Amino acid sequence: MSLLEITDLETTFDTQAGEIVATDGISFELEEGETLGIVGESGSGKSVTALSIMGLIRNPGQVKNGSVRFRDKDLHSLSDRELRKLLGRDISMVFQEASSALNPAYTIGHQIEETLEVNDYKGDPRERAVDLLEQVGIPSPEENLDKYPHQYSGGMAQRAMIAIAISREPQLLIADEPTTALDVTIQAQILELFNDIQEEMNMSMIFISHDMGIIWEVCDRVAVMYKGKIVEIAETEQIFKDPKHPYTRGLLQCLPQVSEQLEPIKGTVPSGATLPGGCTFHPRCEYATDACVEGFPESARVGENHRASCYLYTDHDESGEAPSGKLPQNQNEKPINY
Amino acid sequence: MGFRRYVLKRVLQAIPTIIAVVTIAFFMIRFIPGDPVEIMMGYTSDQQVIESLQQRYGLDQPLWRQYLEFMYGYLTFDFGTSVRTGRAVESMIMARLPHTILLATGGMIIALLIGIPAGIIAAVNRDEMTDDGVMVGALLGVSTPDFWIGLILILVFAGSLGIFPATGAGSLNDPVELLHHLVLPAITLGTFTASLIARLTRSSMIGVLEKDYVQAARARGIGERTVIYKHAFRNASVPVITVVGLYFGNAIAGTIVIEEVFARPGVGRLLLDSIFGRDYPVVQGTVVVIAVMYITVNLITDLVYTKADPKITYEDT
Repeated sequence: MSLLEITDLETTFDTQAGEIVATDGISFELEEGETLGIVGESGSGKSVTALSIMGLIRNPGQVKNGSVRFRDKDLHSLSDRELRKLLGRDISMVFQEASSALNPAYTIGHQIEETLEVNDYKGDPRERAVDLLEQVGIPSPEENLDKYPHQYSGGMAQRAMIAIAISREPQLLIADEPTTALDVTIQAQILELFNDIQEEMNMSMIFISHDMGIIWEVCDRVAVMYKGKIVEIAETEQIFKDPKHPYTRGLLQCLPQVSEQLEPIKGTVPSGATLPGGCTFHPRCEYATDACVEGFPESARVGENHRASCYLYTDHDESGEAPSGKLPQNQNEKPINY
Repeated sequence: MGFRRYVLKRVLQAIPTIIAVVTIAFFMIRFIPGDPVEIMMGYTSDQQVIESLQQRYGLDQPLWRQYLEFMYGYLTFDFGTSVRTGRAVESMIMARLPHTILLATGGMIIALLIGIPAGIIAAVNRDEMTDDGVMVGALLGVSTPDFWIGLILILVFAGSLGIFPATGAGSLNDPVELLHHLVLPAITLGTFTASLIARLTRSSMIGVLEKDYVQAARARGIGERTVIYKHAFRNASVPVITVVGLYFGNAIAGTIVIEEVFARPGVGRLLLDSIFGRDYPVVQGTVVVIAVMYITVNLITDLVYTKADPKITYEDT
């Protein structure tokens, strides 16, 4: 059985402009020790997916449909108290900007120790806090424990945030754009830290990013999201070697590569209240046909462990061969290395 | 800079402020027509008697000379004697100061006890019935004049129900009696500030509740009550502390009206009576005491800031 199983998750927000569907029936599974990347532009519903899993969607948002199963528990049918017992212990989260996700009024040490205490840690929380800071690579941990978040640099704050998240050795860690706010050099260090920790603790991770390059570094499998839907999901190598959905191709072409022209995806992400009908990507898609304007394509199998939601593949046989003549092959025919 | 040095610096900084305050008080009271002797004797009295009394109190001297003598007196901690009662100014003030401090503190405690929870509850239940209820209550609270609230409270609780005394402050030696006399005036004084604090706490909390660290605290498995009262309110409290500091100062001035309504022997009423009687030394002494209290409260407020928000340090000031 998978560690995490998400089925038809639908989360909506009531706004003055009407109801906005932030995640629109997404489903995926996560195995133990696996890292799944969720990639997409801003506004694609990545963060809402994370918060929906954690049960942290609050008014005016609500999880309308679907289920989140963690081990044998349906998280959304748990009481607040039961859910809280899981959060911070079995499931934890690293936020995008550590400097705003750490409480400015309390020292780092206090926040680590508090997390340990609410999650029934039996040992000495102070000692454990020192060990944790050491583990995430913060120098002179004793001293740095008594500092406030504003005395930390961005990279250090993110390390501290990670220390809090792994304090009870969770089985699932959700990282929501954990390196976006950091310098590139620091980014690389933090990614390495994630890889190290995961290897050490054999936990599962959901790694949210808008950056295909980062996904390549960290993830075993990737789900590509666009406007609340997973439009393609496959193993990372597969996605980079043979992207099926036009949007995934677009994302990959946005990767800066030396001596090659960048090709940005045309247009912008439509806002929630004015979603185009049919496939929400069709106004920006160069392969769009009349069918794309009318309906949303079912997710179709396009290869081994590889599914995509695009009319280019709906009349597909189960062999995983692309229908001939519809989509030009990846021009350079080699995996895009990053 | 250490804590002590900071406090010392602030105390030294307060000295010019106090000098300015007493100087202004000195001249303002003298710009009001009529001096203490004229008020006491009436305009029709014997001119010779008036002049001899004016001489006795130094009122025949030129203004600059009176001012210098007055400042000299303050430097040597001689605050003068009351023109009306002949008693030392400091003993008159000291007899009344406890009642005023009690009233201001009582009012502020009531304001905090009602205002902060009401504001938090409103923010947590934003745009729901509870929120609307609290906000309507707070609007009434800030827009109702305090003397009117005082009169209504007297009418209901002292008159009809007879639970609390209508006037006086009780004896300083009897705590129960003191508290008994304090309830109605403290509620009267606290209502406005409670409403203000409720509104401020609400808006401050609404901002903080949307912060990442509140969500992050929930994600760490921390209970909702702790998230709200510890993680969110601690950060929302800085603007509230500002207002509490400011209004504690104001409450000291606000006691003037309330002491009048409840006929409490406080510093506010002493000031009012002294102004009407042109009792120059008492007016000056009272103004200094009020200024010192104001400055002290401000200093305490700034010290509390550093507790609530670790980004504010003594070094910055």
